[in-house]
Amino acid sequence: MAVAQLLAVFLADTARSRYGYELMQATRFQSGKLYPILGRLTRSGWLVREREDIDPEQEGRPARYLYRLTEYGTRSARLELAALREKTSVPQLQDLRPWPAGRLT
Amino acid sequence: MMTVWAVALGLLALAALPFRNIITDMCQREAQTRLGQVPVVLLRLAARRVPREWRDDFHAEWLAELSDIRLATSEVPVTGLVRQVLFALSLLVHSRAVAREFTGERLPWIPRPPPRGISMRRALASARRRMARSLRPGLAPASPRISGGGAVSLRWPVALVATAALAAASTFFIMSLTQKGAGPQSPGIPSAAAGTLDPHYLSVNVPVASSELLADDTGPSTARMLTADVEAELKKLAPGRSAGFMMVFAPSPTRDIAQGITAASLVVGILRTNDPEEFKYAVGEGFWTGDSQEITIRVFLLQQPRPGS
Repeated sequence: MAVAQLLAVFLADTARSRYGYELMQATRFQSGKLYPILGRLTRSGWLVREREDIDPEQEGRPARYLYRLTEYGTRSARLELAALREKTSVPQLQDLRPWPAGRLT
Repeated sequence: MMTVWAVALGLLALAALPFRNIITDMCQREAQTRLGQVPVVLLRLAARRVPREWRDDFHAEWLAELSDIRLATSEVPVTGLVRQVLFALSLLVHSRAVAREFTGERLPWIPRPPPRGISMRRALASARRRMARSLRPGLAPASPRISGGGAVSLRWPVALVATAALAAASTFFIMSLTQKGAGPQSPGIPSAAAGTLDPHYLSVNVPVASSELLADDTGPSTARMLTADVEAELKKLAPGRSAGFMMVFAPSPTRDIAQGITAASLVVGILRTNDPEEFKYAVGEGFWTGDSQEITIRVFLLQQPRPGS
């Protein structure tokens, strides 16, 4: 579920690159939980990790490492999240039918 | 004597009274600086638990994140310090897991041998110590000597026995590791295909650079070309056969290991997604290798041909 939660953050805007602290705030994960998931997704080719192209002196902060969904990752994440939602969804009320009389004896 | 000290301290306190604010301010700044260094030190320790080739990379990333936390919480120093320390502590505890997930390898620096491995490791260490003792002339225990007909030292026979013991212990140790699955882990073969892998593999080289595959604009066309190449090669060399296991070696001319591993893992996914017929049962692993301009794919085939082919 943690991976799904993280993927949902990325899928909110697939073109946007995100950095660790931003993801920690969005998911409420601690760094020790977040980075292994980022590593697994990067290694699987779902995410790309790249160093921010800035001048640290000019910006007044070190360059961040950014993570972005790849095209393959976007496609796979959408499919997997849809499958997960299907598995965990609560059946609609109209789908529920009373058990036939006399069967629960 | 105590009275003298009490009076001296009292006088000192009185003398320091006008400078009270300055001293308090200095103490505050000192405490602030020292406390601010705690997360930095913790991050340095966390980075030291990561393999050498990844250490600087991770350390730079974590320091940048720490700087972001510091900037975001500059108005609330206590909350900021707590968040920074928690961030660094969490990484210190999980740094090996982070490295393992990024590299995909259970590296030798992670001491996670199976229970039997521990005892074998002890046996190995003990045998090694015994051999070292027997080979050290000065420190060796009094060696039995056969008297009469000249003194024959038993040091070398002891060394030979110890070497044999060491070799046996090593063999058991390695066997225990292979049986229990320590060392670099590969995904298992699906149960349907277990034990039916052809020992020979096909090697397909595709002239594609990792960067082309990972780029958003050239990625899809490169992936199509790669799939077509592998499919054509499989059809030509092993028609009607399915892949059981594949190993993908992706280069990175810039020696960017992460890029190479990402590209290799991506190829595994592409082949499994786009070639369901040949790669239906295939599992695979991606590796980084060298700085050439071609991706090498090794395909281990299932021994039985596909039904109906």
